[in-house]
Amino acid sequence: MPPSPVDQLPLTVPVFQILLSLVDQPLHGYAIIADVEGRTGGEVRLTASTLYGAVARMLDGQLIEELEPAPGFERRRQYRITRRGRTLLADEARRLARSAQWARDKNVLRRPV
Amino acid sequence: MTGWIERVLLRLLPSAFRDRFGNDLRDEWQRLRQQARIRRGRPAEWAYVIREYGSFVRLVCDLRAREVGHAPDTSILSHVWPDVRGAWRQTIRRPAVTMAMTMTLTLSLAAAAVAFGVARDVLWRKLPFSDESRLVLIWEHASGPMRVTGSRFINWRARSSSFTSMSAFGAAMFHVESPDGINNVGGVRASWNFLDTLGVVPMLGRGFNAGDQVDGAPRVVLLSHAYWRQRMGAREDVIGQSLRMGGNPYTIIGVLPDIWMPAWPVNPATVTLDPESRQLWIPMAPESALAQNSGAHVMGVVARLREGRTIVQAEQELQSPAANDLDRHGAVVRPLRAQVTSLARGPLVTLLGAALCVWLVACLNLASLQLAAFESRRAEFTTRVALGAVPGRLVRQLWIESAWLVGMASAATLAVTHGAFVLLPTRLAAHVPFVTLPKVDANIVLFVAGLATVTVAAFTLWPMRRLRHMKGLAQPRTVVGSPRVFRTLVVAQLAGTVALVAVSALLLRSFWSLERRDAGFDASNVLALDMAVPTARSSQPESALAYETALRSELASTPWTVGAALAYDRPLEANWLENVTIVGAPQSRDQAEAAQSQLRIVSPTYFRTLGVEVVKGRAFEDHEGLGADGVVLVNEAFMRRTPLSLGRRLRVSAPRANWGDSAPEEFAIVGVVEDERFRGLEADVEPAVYISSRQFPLSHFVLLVRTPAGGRDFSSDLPAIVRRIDSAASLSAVTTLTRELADQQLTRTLTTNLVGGFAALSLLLASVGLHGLLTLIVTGRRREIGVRLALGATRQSVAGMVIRESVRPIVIGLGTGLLLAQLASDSVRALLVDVTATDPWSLIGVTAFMLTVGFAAAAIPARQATRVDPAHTLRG
Repeated sequence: MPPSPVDQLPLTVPVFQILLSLVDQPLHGYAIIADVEGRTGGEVRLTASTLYGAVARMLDGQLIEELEPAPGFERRRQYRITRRGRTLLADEARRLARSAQWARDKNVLRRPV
Repeated sequence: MTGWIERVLLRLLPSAFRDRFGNDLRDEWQRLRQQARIRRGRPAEWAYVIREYGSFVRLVCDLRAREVGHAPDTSILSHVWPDVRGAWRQTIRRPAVTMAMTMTLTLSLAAAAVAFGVARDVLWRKLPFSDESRLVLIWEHASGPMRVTGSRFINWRARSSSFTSMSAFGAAMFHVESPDGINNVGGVRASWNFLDTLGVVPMLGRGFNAGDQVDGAPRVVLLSHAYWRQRMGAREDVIGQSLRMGGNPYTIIGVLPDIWMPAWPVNPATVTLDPESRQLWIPMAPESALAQNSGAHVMGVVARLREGRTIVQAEQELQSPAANDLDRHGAVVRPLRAQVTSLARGPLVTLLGAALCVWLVACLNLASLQLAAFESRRAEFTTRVALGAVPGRLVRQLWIESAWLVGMASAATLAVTHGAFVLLPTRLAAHVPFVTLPKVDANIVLFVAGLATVTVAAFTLWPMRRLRHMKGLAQPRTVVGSPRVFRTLVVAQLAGTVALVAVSALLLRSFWSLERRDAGFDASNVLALDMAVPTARSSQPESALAYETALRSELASTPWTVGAALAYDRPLEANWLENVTIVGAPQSRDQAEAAQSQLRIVSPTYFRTLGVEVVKGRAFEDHEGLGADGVVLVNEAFMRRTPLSLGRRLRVSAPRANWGDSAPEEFAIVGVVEDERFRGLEADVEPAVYISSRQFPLSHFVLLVRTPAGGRDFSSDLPAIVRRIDSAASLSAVTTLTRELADQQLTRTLTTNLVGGFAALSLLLASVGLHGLLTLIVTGRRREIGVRLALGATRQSVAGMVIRESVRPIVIGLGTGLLLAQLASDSVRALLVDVTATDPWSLIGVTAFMLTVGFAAAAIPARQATRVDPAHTLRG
């Protein structure tokens, strides 16, 4: 039985970024790492250990699922975000947006993020 | 990370995770590492490896924490950190003990790491040649292996089908002109395909080609990496520049890579390791000239075996002499690696075994200390278990405390090892065949990590077992089982120590035996300088003689010289093996083989200057020069092999082959000298024939000058005196014969001293361990001792009881240690001189010594036992 959604929030930075990478399409491990680094401008750089540690937890939590590899590409397994994963991702994004708004209300952030 | 390191790391992961993601992890590691290197170079690659390693450790901790029930995503560090802080508090609470333990462990780990690093880079490192297993050295074989003549090399190459490539190489001394003057530089003459045979490509420029070894070819030279770096400023524009050697310009065509290559072949059949011998490389003489040389055994041959051929088959093919062979010599084929490392194998394996033995003794010793510390905290652990602490939690605490101590020692070990690797090769490069210079790399780190892991396991094994059986406050107050464990640890320490002491005793006896050997000459206060007569004078024997006369006169008039002599070979060298036949004796193949003798060309003052005794007849006289009847002296070994009377004539063709008809070809024996050990104290004496330099003038030689005993160092004055006669003379650096003798013994001296040092350290640790065991027993039996004393037992009997407790571990340790020493004797056998591995006197000596040490270690606890106050102990 996967943990309830509320127990999985807040998402860690690696989990959040991996889910973001999988929003548009399924990706394999190296592609996820490259996408996160490219999208964040190098601010978030995942190591392989961090990636697969997070992938293992997300698979257990049913946030992502593993796709059957294409014939001849058995060593390039791809992962796809699940509906549960999308829900949690959206919840986390809203939580972060609320936090950003509270910071703007206090003039901590001078421009919209 | 190399493949096997990755496999080892993946084993740390829980099996379920490893089965599921192991391949993916490895794929990404390799891909990310490659990407980092391509994009931002090596530093970025290493930065990635460090980051990846850190996150891998965190992953392992997280996964293992979840295995034992911690909440997922809970940082394992938050559980571990209190234990780390506790370990730090232990450290500062007892700094002296921690420092002593850390230093002991550091010394033993560093010894093992240095021994491993040196052994790896000498014995196990891949040679820098392609397919090195097929590379061999080939020697001629008469009464033993020896260097090769030019004609035999040509002959072998022409008729052998066992090799894809065969090349010759030989020693050379070049007189290089520079702004400082003319300097002697050691180098090599090699066949044009020498580098191709080895599979070596120059770092800059090109190697030799066939056109470089023909008559009239332009003079070309290859620089060694060291020469290019030290003398040419490592400039990349050296290619095409000119280097003047022996008055002729040579064009620099290339720079060799920084690797070891076979260079000077040395009789009987080996290659020198001295890097100074291979600084400049030129092509060998044209093959037409080589084919004419059938008498001078001066070359070495390196060849590459054809696929599918074995060394035995190749040797058999070369053994059968050709029809035109005058001397019918056979051939010996040896693998290149074995040839180079054979002498180093014994000492290095011995040192590695001894270092690991010391580490083991230190590990067991410290483990017993940790056990004692654990027992002193037994009340603490018992209380915590009673209050609900999970034994696994306490085990983790013990692991972290041990890992903290061992971690500090390991870090210090790597620093000490790095320092040792920087210092060692400076002294050893000429004696130890380093394929690559040792340095602290991943293999060394893993080796130290492996030993450290075993050490941590040894520290925590027994406490873990004790914790598993703890049932809270019901734990009996007396220590049950611990003395048995202590005894076992002490016996193991004693066994390792006895083995080390026994090996050390054998090595020491061999060393003393060698020290007592007579070298045959007096090496004290003798300066040695290689020099060459300038080319203008060296072409005529009379000019060379006149130069020698002028040189000796100049030296005789110098107030600080006691004597001076010239010689072709240094007293500790033997580079000229010559066929010597007896005039009038029937020629036979056996006689020719038996007459192989070292040819020693010396000035008439040689024997007096070097203190070589003329045991029969007389020495050379100055007036016996060119044109006079030839005279020789022989050594005692020659006479033992071939008994001849004084006046008997020998035929030696070398002088006439060099100087023509003005030099004699037949020589009368006028004297017999005592044996000199040309190859050092360890080698056997060889038959030798001495010819006077007045009848065989020398164009390059070693100048030997005896200085007064206890005087100042005159080595800087000698070159100036020589240059007063001729400023164009080329000179090498001045050395002393004492230093050369010590250098020859360097490997043995180091091995003996190091093994002795290890044995002393191990002895100290084992004694402390034995002392600790008996103290523990006395403490545990204090009440019993008090009762005995109260009932009338004498203090002597109590002391005797304690001493008797020490007998069993000492005897068992002694017996086991002697057995271990016998098992290790195979690796030591090659190092023994005048003593066998089962020498009874050595074994008796070791036994008596260890018994003495053991009982001495028992003396203090025995004294403590006699001071037990019965009234105090009975009151409780």
